[in-house]
Amino acid sequence: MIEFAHVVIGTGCAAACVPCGTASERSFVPAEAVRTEVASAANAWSGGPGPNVLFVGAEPFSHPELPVLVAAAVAAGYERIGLRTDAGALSMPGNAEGVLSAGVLHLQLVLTGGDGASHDSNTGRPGLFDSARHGVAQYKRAAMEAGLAVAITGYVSVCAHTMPGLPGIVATLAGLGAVAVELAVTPRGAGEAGLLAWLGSAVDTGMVNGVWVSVSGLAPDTVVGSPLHAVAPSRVRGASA
Amino acid sequence: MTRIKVPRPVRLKAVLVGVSSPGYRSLALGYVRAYAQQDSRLSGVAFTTLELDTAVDAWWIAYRVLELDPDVVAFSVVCWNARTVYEASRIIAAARPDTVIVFGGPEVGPIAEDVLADQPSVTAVVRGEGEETFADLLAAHLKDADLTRVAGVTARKDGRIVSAPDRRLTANLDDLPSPYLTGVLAPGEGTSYIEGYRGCPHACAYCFEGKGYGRVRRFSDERIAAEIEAIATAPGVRAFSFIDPVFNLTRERLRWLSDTLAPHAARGITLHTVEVDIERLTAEDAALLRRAGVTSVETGPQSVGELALATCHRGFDRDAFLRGIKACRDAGISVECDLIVGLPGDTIEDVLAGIDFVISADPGIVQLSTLHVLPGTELWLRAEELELVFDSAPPHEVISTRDLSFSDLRRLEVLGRAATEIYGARLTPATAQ
Repeated sequence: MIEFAHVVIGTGCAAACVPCGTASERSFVPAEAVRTEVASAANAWSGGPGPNVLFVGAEPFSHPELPVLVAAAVAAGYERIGLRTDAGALSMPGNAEGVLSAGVLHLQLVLTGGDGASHDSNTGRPGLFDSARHGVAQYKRAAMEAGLAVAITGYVSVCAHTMPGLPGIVATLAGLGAVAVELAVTPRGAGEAGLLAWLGSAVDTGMVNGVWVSVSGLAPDTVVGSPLHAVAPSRVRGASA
Repeated sequence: MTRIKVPRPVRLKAVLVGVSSPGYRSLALGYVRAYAQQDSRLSGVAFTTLELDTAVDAWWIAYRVLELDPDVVAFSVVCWNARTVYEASRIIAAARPDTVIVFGGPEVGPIAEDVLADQPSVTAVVRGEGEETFADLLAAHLKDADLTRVAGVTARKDGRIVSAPDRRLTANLDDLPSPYLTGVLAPGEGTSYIEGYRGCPHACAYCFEGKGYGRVRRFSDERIAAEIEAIATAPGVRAFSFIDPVFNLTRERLRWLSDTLAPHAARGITLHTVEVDIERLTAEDAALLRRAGVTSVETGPQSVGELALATCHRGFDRDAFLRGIKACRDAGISVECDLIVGLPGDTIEDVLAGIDFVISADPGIVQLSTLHVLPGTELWLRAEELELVFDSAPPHEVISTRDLSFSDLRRLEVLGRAATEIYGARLTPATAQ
């Protein structure tokens, strides 16, 4: 499968759940430090198609030097450059076209709810759900017009608040064109009653919509639907993962 | 005194219908029509070809056909258009019960009697190569003769379904007029395919390519060169291709093709996606391909599982495969690697290993498809023994195997699609500009 180096560009991304109290302060790693990390991960790359990188940790569109980070990845020879993002800023005019032309062909969309009420509530940001949907649509349209193949995936941090919405989140991501979704079970989420049933339902929702759902963060012998669902089409590599 | 040529009256209207994937045309119907048109027995037949695509609804196919008021309608039937063709035929027969409906193609030929039993709207099925058989069938129909006496035809007689003996293969392929050189098929950008030979040197158990042919029969070099010239110099054509199952059949043939195509390649004419045996492909071969204008090649491995490969009579040399990919990439040729999900003998681990192998080989394009158990193939014939369960209705998708449940297969399809899409979204030297 495809490997991606995770390069942390800060803290405070939308994956954190406000009701859980896990939302961290927003901070950004300076561009120079990211550039060093990007170059280092590229140099250390061995085997398989790539190198590939996914910027994580902070909302990338809030990073004051995002264009510099992406340009550094292109200059370092990365073949696949992705952003883990809440996608809200993609709805702003020019952003979708801008990141595409810069070389970002992978979006990992973070969702905490399958509808506006739950996603906006879990992220503490009213209107984010609609902005995200609009932003992803803009990105896909811009890619089609530019004749570029892009990949959209989803990332869900599974806790008590996102758990009951998992099937709906997967369905929403399918509607947005995601081909794969990672359900990352948090340590607190792993102890929730009914977790396996909700995960199984989310996995099945993915299957009937043609979206691959993988589950991480559970004990190795925990099976959700089939052991296959522990397999992710893209994997993490690198020291900063 | 000037002699005025009086056109012979039309005694019969024949409509040939191709239902292809968007962007494709039926080469088979081109051959069938080119052969029939030069048959003096059929000089009173007016031929029309309808090229439609699979996005067209069966009712609209019927509308287009019936608007032409045909006496005979001939469909080229393959697994992916069969359901639509069957429905269109039912509508045509209901609207115009006198219409003679003829099927041909790999989906129906090997199971002709079953098709006639299941499709009461169909008059006859042409088995095997269609050129001579269809012409003889039309000639027999014009004389109101018994269709079940035409070699290669299965038809109805006195309420029974009767198959005439098989027809012998055309010994000299040059006896079949070229659809391009006769003007039956106009060269089109990206839609023109040349057939260099029939048959296949391989005998893959899932494939119909070599079935019934016994051996590889080639068109002459002169014929192929004339078709290349006609297509490559046609206005608006910048790319075309070959349908041959192995473009690098032999080094000598590859060199000849490269020599013949090179002048056109030098003008910017390209060949898109020819199929190759990648394990035999050296750097020298890749250079010949490039010189011929080849921009992309398609190849296996279909599976990396030992049991599946053995069952399907396929070899797989991992190192040679990787060397072949590297040779192509070094020559600037994109490679498409194909995997089939659901081959008998493959386990979940084998399929995952196959996906891992092709992605780590980094060919450029990775394509996963689900096994279709095609009529007449070895897998079709051995399905019960191999515990291969598949949909009896076209396109005959595999339902389960001895090692893979229905759910496993569907999961592997979805996982494979995700992996290939993530793989395919990448910066290339062109997009990175």
